[in-house]
Formats: sequence, structure tokens, C-alpha cells
Amino acid sequence: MDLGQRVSSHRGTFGAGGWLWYLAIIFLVSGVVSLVKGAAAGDSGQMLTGVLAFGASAVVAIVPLLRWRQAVDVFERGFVWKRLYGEQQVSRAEIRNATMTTHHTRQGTRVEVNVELQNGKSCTIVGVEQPEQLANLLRAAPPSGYPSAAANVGGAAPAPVNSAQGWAPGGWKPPGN
Amino acid sequence: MNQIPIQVFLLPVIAIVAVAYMLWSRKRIGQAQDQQFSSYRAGELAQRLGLQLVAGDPNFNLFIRNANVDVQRGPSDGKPVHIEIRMQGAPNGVPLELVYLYRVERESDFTTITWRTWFDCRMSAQAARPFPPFELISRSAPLGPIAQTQPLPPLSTGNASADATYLVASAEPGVAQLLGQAAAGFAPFANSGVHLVGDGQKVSFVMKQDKAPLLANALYYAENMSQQLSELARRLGG
Repeated sequence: MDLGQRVSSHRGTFGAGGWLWYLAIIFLVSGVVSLVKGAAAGDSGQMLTGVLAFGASAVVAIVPLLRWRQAVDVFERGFVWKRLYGEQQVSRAEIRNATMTTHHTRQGTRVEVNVELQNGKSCTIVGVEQPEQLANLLRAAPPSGYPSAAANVGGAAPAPVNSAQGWAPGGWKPPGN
Repeated sequence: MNQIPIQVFLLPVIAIVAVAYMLWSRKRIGQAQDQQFSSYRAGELAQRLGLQLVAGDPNFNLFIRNANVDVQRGPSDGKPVHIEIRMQGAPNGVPLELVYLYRVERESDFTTITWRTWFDCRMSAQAARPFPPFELISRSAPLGPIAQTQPLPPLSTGNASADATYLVASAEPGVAQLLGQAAAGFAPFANSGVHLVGDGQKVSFVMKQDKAPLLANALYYAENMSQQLSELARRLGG
């Protein structure tokens, strides 16, 4: 799928994990302390507690890690959402709408960009840089005068456009020149 | 009765008086600021720009919006705050429009309160003929980066100074070159940020209430903005 030129990149932020990082670190430290103490005292029960704390730390760290190690690249005719377990390509024709929502809770503030797709599914992107710009760009219609994503599905080369407006792609000149 | 300390009666009275004073004081400050920055009232702004106010309250202050009774009161469930100002004209020989929209809806249930906010403030000049879409954004602006709105790739303007100050996005090198030449005219706005959007028909200076480009700073130079936008629309669309 030819998505055109890259328009904008939005990486995940470390801070998007919020208080879950704190929880993961507490479990991690607890695991280290329990393991060391257990090993020193030869107490298998305490060592088991340490292992469980490590496990809990890993589980709690999944969400912040996924948010941190993600990136959304917006192109002229779609976007690519890269995550730790794979990437998703979405063409502009598949996007129905994009909205940005800020959630204020006791645990903190979370900004989320929800992309509704034509097939009824949606992508919820949480914790990337410049979420407002991301929502703007995904919501925007293809700029007038350029091949619509619908016309370009299947990777066909952009057709000459704007014949009605009097310029070929890349050939616009100010009036009077 | 004699056993109840006097503070039990006195403290609530003091608290009520304090809250009442704070509310009165806030209202008074709002009124004073509204008076001080009266040039941002819709009616006066329209006069400054040589435009005609076609929609909205002429007393609404675009800078001190809290001076407005509805904004002060805030939205409640099913009763949104909706402010819309529109002024139009052609003071520089090009159709020009200033639009301000502020709408807040509130919805609450037992566990959550949902606020939906719409804000748009832009001055737009209409070009005589269509032109390729573009966006010009200050690379460095106070209060964080300016959000791009159109999916257009970045282009060099051919003017090193303009490229260092602004990000220009367009699919047409000719537009980027023209913007590189025109960018110098927007120098007075550099401190608060510049955000120009060309949608193919209109050239708009987009402003924000709490982010760059700050409405208050940008509209301080409203007359200059009107001239620069009209000139740019003329150069783009003939």
C-alpha cells in the first residue's frame, strides 16, 4: 500500500505509563530484596515471594512498555501504528473519524486518540507525543487537489490532478508568473 | 446552648462571607480586565478591522472571555455554553472574515463528568482562485508545539531564514517558495507563534485561547494580520 510521503511522526512517551511504572518498580525492588534476603538466609519461601514479585513487576510493566515503545507515522494517505507486537497500516479511505479525549482521573491524566474505522473497528492510541496534531491529521480529509485515498487503494500511482484548477502536480506557479 | 462555643456559629458565617467576597472580587476583576482590554470586544474589533459583525454579541471580549455571564456560569447538563462571533468585510480589497467559536458541553453521571469542548478562532482571507493547500507553523512557540492540521509533507522554502523559523508543509514547491518570501511579513507575530492554514480557497491565521499562537497576542496586531493575510491571498489566488 503506497501511503505517500511521511507527514508527521508520533512516538510513545515514557510518562504515558504513569503510576504503573511506579508500581512496577516497587514490585521489582521488592523482588530483588526478597530474593537476596531469601538466598542469604536460605529461606525458599522468601525466595518464592521474590520470584512472584518479579512476575508481578513484569505483568504491571506490560501496559507502560507498550505505550512507551510505540510510534505512529502519519503519511499523506494513511498511517502506520507500530507496536512491540507488530504494526498496523491503515489507509485514509479506511478512516471514518478521529477524536482526542483527555481523561482526568485520580490516577492522573490520560490523553487518548480514538480512530474509528469504516469497518466498525477502532484504534485507541494512548500516550503519544502531540496527540492533538495526530487527531487533526487523521481526521483531515485528503487535501483538495490530491488523489483521494479511495482512488489510491491498491497502490496505483497518483493520477494527474487539478486539471480543472490549472496546474499539474508539482507545477503550480503564482498567478501572473 | 451556653455550652456550644461561639466559633461553631461564627466560622460558617465567615466562610460564607469569604466565598461571597471571592466571587464578587472575581467578577470585579473580570469587569476591570474587560474594560482594560476593550479593544478585544467583538464590536470594537470589527471596527478596528473595518469589518461588519454579522453574528454574535458585540460586547463579548475575545481575550477576557470570563467577563461573559454564560462563560462565567459554565455549562450544565443539557445546557451548553455556546459563543459564536463572526465578522466579515473586505477592508483590503479581499474578502476577510474573523470567526470565533467556543462551545462547551457537559454530561455527568454517577461516576464521570464528560466535557466536550470546541474552540476555533481564525482570521481568513478568501483568494480569487483556488491554490494548492499548505500550512505554515512556527518551529518554536511558547506553550508547546503548534499542532499541524493538514496531512501535507514538509517542504523547503528556499529561504534559509524562513526555513529556520517556520515549518512549511505543502505538496507544491511553488507555494513553499512564495511562503518563504511572504513569511517576513508575519515577523511581528513571531513571539506568540504563527499558524497559517491554506485550504485551497482561503488563507487563515489560526489562533488558540491557551496555546500558541495565543489569541490575545496575535489579535494585538489584528490590523497587521488582516493586511498580511489579504496580501498573501492575493499572491496565491490573483
